[in-house]
Amino acid sequence: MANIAIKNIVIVGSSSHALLSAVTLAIGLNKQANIIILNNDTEVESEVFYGSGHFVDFHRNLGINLNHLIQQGDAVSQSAERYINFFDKKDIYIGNDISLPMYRGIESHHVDAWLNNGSLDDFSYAVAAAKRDKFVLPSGKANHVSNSFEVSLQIKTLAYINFMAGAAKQLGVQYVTQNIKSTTQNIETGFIESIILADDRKLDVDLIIDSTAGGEIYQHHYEQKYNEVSLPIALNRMVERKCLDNKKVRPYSTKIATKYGLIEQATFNSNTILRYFYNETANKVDVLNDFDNYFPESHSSTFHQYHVGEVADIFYKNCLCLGNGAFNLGYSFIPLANFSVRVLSKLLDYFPNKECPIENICYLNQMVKNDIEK
Amino acid sequence: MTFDATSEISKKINKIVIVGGGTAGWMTAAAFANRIPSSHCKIILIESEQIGTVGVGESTIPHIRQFNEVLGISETEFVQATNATFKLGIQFCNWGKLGDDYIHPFGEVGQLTQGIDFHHYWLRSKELGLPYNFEDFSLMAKAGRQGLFPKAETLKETKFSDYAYSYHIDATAYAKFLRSYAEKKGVERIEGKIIDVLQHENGDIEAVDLENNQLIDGDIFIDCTGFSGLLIDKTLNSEFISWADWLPTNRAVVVQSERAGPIIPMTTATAHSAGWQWSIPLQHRMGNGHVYASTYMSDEQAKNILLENISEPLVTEPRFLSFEAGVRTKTWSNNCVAIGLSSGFLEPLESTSIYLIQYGIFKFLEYLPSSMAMSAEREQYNQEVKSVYETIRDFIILHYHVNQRTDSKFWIRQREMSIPESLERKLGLFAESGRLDLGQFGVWPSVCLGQNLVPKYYDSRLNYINKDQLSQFLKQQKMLVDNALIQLPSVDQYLSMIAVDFNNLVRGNNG
Repeated sequence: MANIAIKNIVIVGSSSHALLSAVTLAIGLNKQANIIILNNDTEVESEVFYGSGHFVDFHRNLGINLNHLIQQGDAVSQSAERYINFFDKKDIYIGNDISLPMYRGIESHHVDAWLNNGSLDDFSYAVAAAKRDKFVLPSGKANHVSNSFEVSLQIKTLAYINFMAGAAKQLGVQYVTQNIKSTTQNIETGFIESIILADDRKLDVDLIIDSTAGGEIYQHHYEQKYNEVSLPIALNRMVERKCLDNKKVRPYSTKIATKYGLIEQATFNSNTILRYFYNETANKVDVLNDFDNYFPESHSSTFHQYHVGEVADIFYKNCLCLGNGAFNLGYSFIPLANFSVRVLSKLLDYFPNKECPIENICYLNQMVKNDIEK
Repeated sequence: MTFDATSEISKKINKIVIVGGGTAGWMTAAAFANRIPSSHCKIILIESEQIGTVGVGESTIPHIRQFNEVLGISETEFVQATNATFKLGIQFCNWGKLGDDYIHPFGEVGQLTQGIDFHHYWLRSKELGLPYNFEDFSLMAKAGRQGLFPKAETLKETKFSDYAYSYHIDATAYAKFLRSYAEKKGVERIEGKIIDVLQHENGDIEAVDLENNQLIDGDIFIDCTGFSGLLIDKTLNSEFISWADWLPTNRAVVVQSERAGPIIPMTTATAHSAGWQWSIPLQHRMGNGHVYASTYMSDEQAKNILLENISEPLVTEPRFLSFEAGVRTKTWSNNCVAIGLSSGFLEPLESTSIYLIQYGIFKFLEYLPSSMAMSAEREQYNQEVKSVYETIRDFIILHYHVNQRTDSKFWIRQREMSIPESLERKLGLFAESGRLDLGQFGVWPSVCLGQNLVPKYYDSRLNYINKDQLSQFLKQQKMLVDNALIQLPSVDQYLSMIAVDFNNLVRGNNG
């Protein structure tokens, strides 16, 4: 029985997804594999990202304490999100609720509809706290309302990358900054067995995590397609700005429905980061004017572009595709960071051997596909 | 807060009519009465003493505890009323090969460690020549073989504190017990045989006409008429999808016998040449039955095999049943929901009959419609019920398909037949790398390994640890089981304790 464990892992790219992969695999594999981050990506990520309760739990389970980022002012914990101009009511909060109270086995939203109340706000502990500007943590009391929600985070991307890079180094992950010249593939399996760098160094590899935005290995060396799709409703452009007026930090993020899409507002101690998501059909100048209408004090516009689409199979041969090169919906209420966490947790659950057994990989791909569809 | 009887919502469903008593009928009546206030909706159950019941599911799975818990039924009273014994799993004999014997226990075997399922550790240990049986790491399997019961207080501080168990029950007594519960909660029982079913123009059932000239109308009708499917089949013609190609057993001969010796907290499923035999211990008797495929075996042969394998005196005459594995495409059609045998049938190999009743009841309560035309809920309900049937179907087929027997045409055919695609995928995944499909039914590693299906690969990360480390880890895991076993009472002892509790309860209630 040839059941050879994966020993050499190369993570291509240096995005937040790459760092998350490196730390996850180093811990998940109990430091038994050689992990190299091949730092050759120039992807410019958004300055801030949202980490759901699942994202926070995933780090906690790995033994990574994100409190450090909160203490440094680089992350803000929140128990709810505020939606302005989205629904019938102009201003509504949605809590990070795991459960809402039930009445005789009947879910809250039915009771709410029966009461003709129009909002679940009144039933959510997480929302009640957010509305009162209270930062709360789940109490840990079983079946108690104070334990009915999870904490999510707004995180500054660069701070997260630096924090995770520190963790990766401590876990023995190596960094190599160099371009890829070529790869060598096994004649029988077609698996990439080594990566030859521009300086002729050779990296042996059993498993590749391609976290580059352009899919350097997946698309260019394995010649697998990233299938872009044209979705007229997709918010596939974003302009990012800051406010330095130092408004009070809020235990929630705010989303405002606008003429061309939506603005997402994340408040930190040092500044507020604003992101206006819109569709490519909107005129840039109109979008900026609209941005000014909402936040006249904001400045320093940086533009981002998303390629909406996905790869056919996230795992191909011995390469797992992650981050913007794997899948993108443009703006999504389930951000990419959470998606990466889900993929990595599935990878650990169904971790392959060096042969990457076909049923195992098919199942992994299918589960990820189901996830995307949902 | 009280429901406003004049509000628009409460006007919509005023009356639910359950047609048929038996286990399905009275479970439905009891659960509905518990969940739907009698001020809001009247619940009627029609049954006829002229029509017998099949009395499904003497052997159950742990979900029944949740059912009882939701209804606020005390275990002490339930055990006494149904002559129940405890069940920790199923012992399968002769399934892989003649002479094989394994247990499919409730709950996990071993402990998920470092994110890797326990059976991978065991597979690695086999390769390294370590001397452990997979069963050594299941408290339920070990306790089952020794006739012990894991008493809750004893295991409170251990990793086994949330262990799973269920019961062997007298299903007829359970129905009777639930009837009393339901009637106390306001369910009206009407004795009568249905002679006609009246329908609205849109096909919805309007009323049922009884032999004694009573006409019972309703907003929702629950068909608990068993195999006859009086409403769902004979009136609404809901299509039945047959799975007989995969599950060709279509007959059973059942008989009750006396019980002797200590109670074993397991159902026994012994494979014969064209099917299998169950043996279920109750407090006062044994339930026995032989499920077989009539294409391969005559009734007489089946009866003889059954009787040859019962050592205690019989207390009833052998009785024959016919059935066909399958499910209705629409278990909820128009304003009628089929619950129990009228919705579909899967043989009792994994004791799922009562679970399927329970699933249908709770799913319907989850989607309880507020008007008569809620097709979205109906579609969703039908899809979910069908899906749970298919999941269990696959698991049952697995038992038949993964065999190495050469002694009968039946077993060779079952091994060589093509299987559903959904099972092929799950089986392929396990056979290749020991991986488990999320949401699959039962403890697959126990059944697959028990029937000699050993995955090609274990999790290769276990190559990172050496033989000594693995040996030490398994030794500790086994010790946890062994230490817990020492403290457990026998099932008989535990039942005696429950009987004492029950008597105290009765004395307390009497003053």
